[in-house]
Order: sequence, then C-alpha cells, then structure tokens
Amino acid sequence: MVGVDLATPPFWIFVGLSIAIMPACRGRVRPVAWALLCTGFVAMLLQGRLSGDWTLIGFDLALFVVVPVLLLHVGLSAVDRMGSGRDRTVAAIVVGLGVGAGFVLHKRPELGAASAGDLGPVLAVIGFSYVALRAVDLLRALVQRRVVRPSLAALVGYLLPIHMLAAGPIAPAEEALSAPPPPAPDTAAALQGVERIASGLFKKFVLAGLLREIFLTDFTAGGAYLLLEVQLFYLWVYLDFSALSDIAVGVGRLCGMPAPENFDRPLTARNLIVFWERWHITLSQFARRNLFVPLQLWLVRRDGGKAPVRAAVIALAITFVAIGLWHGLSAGFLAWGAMHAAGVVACHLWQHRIRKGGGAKALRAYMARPVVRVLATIATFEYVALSLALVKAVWMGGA
Amino acid sequence: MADDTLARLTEVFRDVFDDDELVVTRRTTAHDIDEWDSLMHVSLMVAVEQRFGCRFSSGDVAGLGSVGELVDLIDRISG
Repeated sequence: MVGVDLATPPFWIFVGLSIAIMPACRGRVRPVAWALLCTGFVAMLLQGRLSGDWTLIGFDLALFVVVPVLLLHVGLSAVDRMGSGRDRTVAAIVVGLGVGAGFVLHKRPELGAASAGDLGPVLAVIGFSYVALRAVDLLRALVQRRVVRPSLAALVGYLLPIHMLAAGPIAPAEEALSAPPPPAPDTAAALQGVERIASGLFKKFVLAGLLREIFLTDFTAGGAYLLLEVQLFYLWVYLDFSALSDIAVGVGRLCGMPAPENFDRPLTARNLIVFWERWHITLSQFARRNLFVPLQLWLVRRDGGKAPVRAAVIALAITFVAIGLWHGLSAGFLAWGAMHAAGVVACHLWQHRIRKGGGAKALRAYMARPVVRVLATIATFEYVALSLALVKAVWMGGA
Repeated sequence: MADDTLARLTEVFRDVFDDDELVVTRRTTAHDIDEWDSLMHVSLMVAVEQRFGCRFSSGDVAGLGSVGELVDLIDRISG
C-alpha cells in the first residue's frame, strides 16, 4: 500500500491551498487553518487511495485518523496533568504503548485482530511510521517539560503535516510547536522554495525515474551487472528519497510551515558516522535524542563512568538495530540495522584506538591524509550500497 | 557566576579530553574539539554532573549545542 503519491491530485491540491492560505494566517487562526488543511488532505488521500475515486473527500475514512488523534490528545492531557516526573513518565509509557501498538499494526497488519483489520490500510496511507515518531518525540518533550501541551489543532498539524507525510522529515516537537511562525516569504524566499520543489521533482521523476526504468532490474540481471546495479540502486534510493525531502522543504518555505533539512551530501561521507549525520538527518537526530543519549546516559551513570566506551557501543548497537526495525519489523531490516550498527561501532572504535595511541593530533593527521579520505569514502559508499542491495535483494526476498 | 562556572568547566574538559592546554569559551562547540564526538558527549556530561553536583535530563544532554548553553544550564540548575 503506497502512502502519499506525488503523481496523484490531493497532494498538489492541498499544497496549493496551503501556499495560498497559510502565509496570511497569524495567531490562533494559524494552527486551526493548518489542522483543517491537513485533515482535509488526509481525508481526500484516504478516499482516493482506498476507493480509487479522487473526486471525493472520505470524511468517514478520516475518522480512522481523527479518533486516534483525539485519543492521543486525551493521553497527552493526562501526561501533562501529572505532577511528578515519575508519574508523567508512567503515563507517557502507557500512551506510548498505544502508539507502539499502532506501529506494529502498521508494519505487520497480519498480527492485528480482525476488528482492527480496517485500520491497517489507513495507517499505510498516512505513513504511520513517521506519525509514530512524531508522537513519541512529543511525548518525551512533554514529559521533560520542553514543550507546552499542544492544542488539538496544533497536534493534528504536527502529526499529519501535508508536506512531510510522504517520507518525513521528522520535525522535532520542540521546534515545530514552540518556534514562532516565520514571516511570509518574500520574492527571493518564494523563488528558493519553488526552485527546491522543481529540483525535487526533477530528481524524482526524471533522474530517479530514468535510472529505475533503464538500469535497475531488481537484481535479476546477475553476473557482472550485479556489481553495477548495487551502485545504481544506492544512487536511485538517494535520488528518490532526497527528492521527497526537497519538495517538503520547498513547500514548507512557501506556506510558512518549515520542514527541516534531511540530507547533506551523504554519497560522499567519509565514514558511517558521517554518513548518518548526512542521511535521513532528522531520523538520526530523533534516535540520538530519544534513544541513544538516554540509553548511554543510563549506562554511564550505572557504572559510574568506568567504561564509557562500552556504554557507548551498547547504546549505539541498540539504537541502530532499532532504526532497522523502524524501517520494517522483519529479519531483513534487523540485519540491515545490525550491519549499520557494526559499521558505526567499528568506526568509533577505530578512531578511539588511533586517539588512544597518539592523541587527538594523531587522529587529525590520520583523517587529513588524502589517501585515507579517498579510500574511506569509497569504502563507505560500497558498505551502504551493499547494505541496501542486501536488504532489497536477499533479506527481503527480492522485488 | 558564569565566569566561575566556565573556569570550572574548563578543568572538566581538560580532564575528560586529557589535554592540559585546552581552552574553552562560551562559543566552543563539539565542532571545535576533535575528541568531542557523540561517544564522548555523554561521558563529558556525566563528568560535569559529578564536578558540579547536579543532574541533567537526557533532553538537556541531547539538546546542548555549545559550552555557553552548558554554562547557562549549570547555573540554572544550581540556582
């Protein structure tokens, strides 16, 4: 079940409406207007995706989304009302389990009860993986009092943003709900937004489209071509995925609902640590603030800081396996996550070893060597390409 | 108070990163110190907690962007 499809009408209808309406909205009207647009978009998207009729708005289908959001809003209110940090954490865990159940149903609909069967396709259409991460980020921010509990309208707009529903980015709750609205875009900013959308469309429908049509065989060609296809598949994933982020950033600028950057030249990353600072940046940052740092902090405090490297390695391994499972609750994505966990841990341990032997100067000198830079960049490219090819062709059972 | 906090923080940084000549200012960020990566960040924060007798939330630890923000956080927590 494909979620938001840029080749179908609802996305562009509601992008147009958002650009026309949102820059003029200020104060209390702003979150309400944005929530109505997002709800209308989801309703039209569900109707079109599930019935094939793009001319109607499926308000009845939208209830499948509106009711869980209402329940989440009630849950957030309960978390917010709790006096102590411990009570807030317990309440947040209860609410989080509900979000987690929705995530499992989204990823493995066959595990759901018959009564929940209708919810699976709905979750797929709205891309619930991203919605779940936004909900978790908001829950943790609320527990730590980093955000004020959002109104229902602000919650809808944060969880279901029209331009970030297809494939993120994942805007941090603190930023999205607390930052003042940007000024209406002037001509230069508007042109930058249009340019970004055009760039995204070109990457997705021309470059990625042609690459897929002409060169990719879903790894059925075999022979020496397999080696070339491994490289091209990585390139295609990057073009297709980053194109959606470009469009989200461009639309965000035009309608005054900013979308964070999600990619920064990942193909030329010199190691896996740098790669994850440049690829799907908002997912990395989400995992860092919500899993890696809390876990590492707990481990370091637990042993009084006697084994910081071991704590970091354990936290890294768990974080990357979790990132793998977020992509898909399957052995294939578990293996993909484990492969990246192993790679990132190896990079950190290698750097730690050099630093321990010769200090920071030795590491700087090592990193500055052109031969090392070139070889490391090639090795990183190949490692990522191989992991993507394996997950597509082997672990997920081919096309 | 902030100057005193910064001076004590400098000692923590020198201990953690094993560099007696390290100078940190309010503008110093992880980009300015090679060893200050995501692995060392939490160890640094726990060392700061121990030195100042305070306790950070994971949100504080994950959200810090500069030494200046760390100084402000310590002063806020310490009252």
